[in-house]
Amino acid sequence: MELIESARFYRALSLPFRKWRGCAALMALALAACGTVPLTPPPEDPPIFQRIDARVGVVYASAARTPVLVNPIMRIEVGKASVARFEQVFASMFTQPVELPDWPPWRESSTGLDGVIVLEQTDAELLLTDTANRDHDFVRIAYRVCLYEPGGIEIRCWTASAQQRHQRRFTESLKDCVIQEIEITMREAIARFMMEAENDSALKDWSARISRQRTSP
Amino acid sequence: MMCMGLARALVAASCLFCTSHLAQAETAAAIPVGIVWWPANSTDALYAMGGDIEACLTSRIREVAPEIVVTPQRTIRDTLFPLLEPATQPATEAGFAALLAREEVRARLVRRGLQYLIVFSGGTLEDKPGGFILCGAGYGGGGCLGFVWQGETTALNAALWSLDDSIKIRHEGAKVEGTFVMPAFILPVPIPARTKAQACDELGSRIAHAIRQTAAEHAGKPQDPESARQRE
Repeated sequence: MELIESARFYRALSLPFRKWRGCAALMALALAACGTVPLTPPPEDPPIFQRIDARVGVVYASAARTPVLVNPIMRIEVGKASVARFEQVFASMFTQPVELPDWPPWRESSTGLDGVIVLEQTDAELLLTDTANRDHDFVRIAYRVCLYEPGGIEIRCWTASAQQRHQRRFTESLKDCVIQEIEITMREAIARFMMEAENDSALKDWSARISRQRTSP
Repeated sequence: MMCMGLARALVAASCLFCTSHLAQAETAAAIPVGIVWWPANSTDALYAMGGDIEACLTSRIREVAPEIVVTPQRTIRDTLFPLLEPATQPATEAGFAALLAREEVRARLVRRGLQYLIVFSGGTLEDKPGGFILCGAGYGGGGCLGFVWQGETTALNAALWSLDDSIKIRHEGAKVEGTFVMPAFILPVPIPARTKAQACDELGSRIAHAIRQTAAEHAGKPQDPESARQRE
């Protein structure tokens, strides 16, 4: 009898805790959602690039789409924001960009294309001012973009990165500052990629080749 | 006699009406310009998206010449992306001129209605601080005693570029020196040098007058058929 009573007692006691656990999970989820800070969407004007007349498959690898920067007060989806910017970049680079699905793998299904461009990797690092060791915020973003023949042979890979150091004034808001630091670093890295790609001899050769193929099949 | 008076009053009223309309026409003729920091310091590129010097210059220009409409540098950089980012910007003035002369660049800026581009540079240099302040506290109270100073110089430059022919048409500069002082007698009292604000106000006024003058000269000059065709 005593055993039954104590079991009931413990069950009664654990009930609110169980409920609490659910609540805590929900609250954590809500906090995580609240803490996700959106970055400014890409500007209206498409980037300037000498557009290549080509039908190119576009792939965003999960290593490029998913990176998130997390710190105690916010969560920034750098991968998602990068993809939004690269969509615009690829649209300004090629006359016919075609986004390819995740499945089946593009190496098996890339028919009728002149090439496939893959945003393979987004690396993001954020270190905030730490009075003991660092007197500035540090942001670094790097991208790896590769252009392949439809069969999967690599034409060229580019790795573009940028970094920012910013000494935050006590009047500046941490959140606003970090968002701006990430945005400018992202812009710088993408700008570097575009300039490098525009002047790349391998890209020029490929572009000339597909143009020749188009004129004399 | 009464008729003469009435006629004079009518003439005066019509003159007043005409001048007020003329003034309205003058104020309505907006001069759209863009502003950009170049060469932007790539180690602290955050200010390439906007900063205190840009804000100060813009507000001063607006104060002096309300008809000048300034497009912020963030919009200019977005419009010209990726060519004018701190990492990819031209390193020389010739390179900058070549960038503005690119057909697509000019077309995009003109599409935004811009006629001129204000290109500013410069900043504040601080000397080594001098003096010292001693502070102490005990059961009976506390306080500081001493004197600290630090010299600073703000040098700002702004060039006015014409987007019609991609050339630098005016150059203005402002340099202000000052000293930050902080006397401490019980409490330290900081007295800022405000060199940045002064230099910015001075340069803002000069560049506003330069734009106004250039626009007036341009309006008076018969239009070059080539540039007129391009604007169309």
